[in-house]
Amino acid sequence: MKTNSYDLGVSGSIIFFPEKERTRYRPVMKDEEGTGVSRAVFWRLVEPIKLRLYNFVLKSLNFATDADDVYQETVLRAFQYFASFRKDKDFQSWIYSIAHNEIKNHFRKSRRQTASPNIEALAPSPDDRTEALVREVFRFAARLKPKEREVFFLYYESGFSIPEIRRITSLKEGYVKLLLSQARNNLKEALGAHHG
Amino acid sequence: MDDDKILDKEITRLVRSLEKSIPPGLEEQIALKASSGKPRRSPFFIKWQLALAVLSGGAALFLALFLLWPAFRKQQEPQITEIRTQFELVDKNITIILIQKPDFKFFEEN
Repeated sequence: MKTNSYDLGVSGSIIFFPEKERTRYRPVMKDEEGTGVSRAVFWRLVEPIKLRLYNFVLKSLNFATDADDVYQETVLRAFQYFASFRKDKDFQSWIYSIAHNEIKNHFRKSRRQTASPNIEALAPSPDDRTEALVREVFRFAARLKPKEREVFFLYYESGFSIPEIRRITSLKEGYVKLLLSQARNNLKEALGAHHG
Repeated sequence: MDDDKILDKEITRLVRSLEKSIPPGLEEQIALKASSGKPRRSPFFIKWQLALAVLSGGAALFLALFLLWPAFRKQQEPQITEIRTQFELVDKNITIILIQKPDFKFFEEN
């Protein structure tokens, strides 16, 4: 680190840090309550992604009623640990990795697959053909293992790229690619059959 | 490749076409719980802090032991390295000195 020091001639010197170094030590997200975390900043960051996050959790859990609890736990946990969130990281990936852990914990605790989705009750579809295709996609997703289903929805529901999914789930990139390729091949047949 | 992209778009459209909104009660519940709870440091951060505390404590202990070691060290017993026996034959003006050493060997050859 290059610093410029100026001799005061008496008993000390002033050290000037370069601008880049100074910003690194800048305190992060102090708020008026002095808690070290700006609640307002957190909610502002959550707001645009919360619907997609909720749907990701919901679909990863096969529309189980526990999904609300898992989503709640995700947001609260993110809020609690927001102080340790580094500003140079992507907030969306960070909160999704928390969601990923919560989903994993949920399956570990329950040790069972959640029930198959009741697509008929959930989907207000514009037409019969679309409804049949949507049903086919979610039936396929319901048959996947929890980890595979998460990857599937991270890609198709949340729109993450493969490297981002790797970072969120800590799975190998090749494995993520393989899962998506398998999903694509399976759905190609299923959707192709519906397309005629 | 292009087929895959088209298929991906179609799957994304179908997946997203089924969207559920967050129940308002759930959002209120989260906001309420968040306002009552205090922000915490992550377990990772706590682990690091703990590891740092243990390391610095260990280093301080090591330094203290290193500095105080001479005070606690047991004094070594003085060792006898040689025994000298001296005879004086005054009338013949002769002095005989016998020196005994632990590594003394008779008929030692170089």
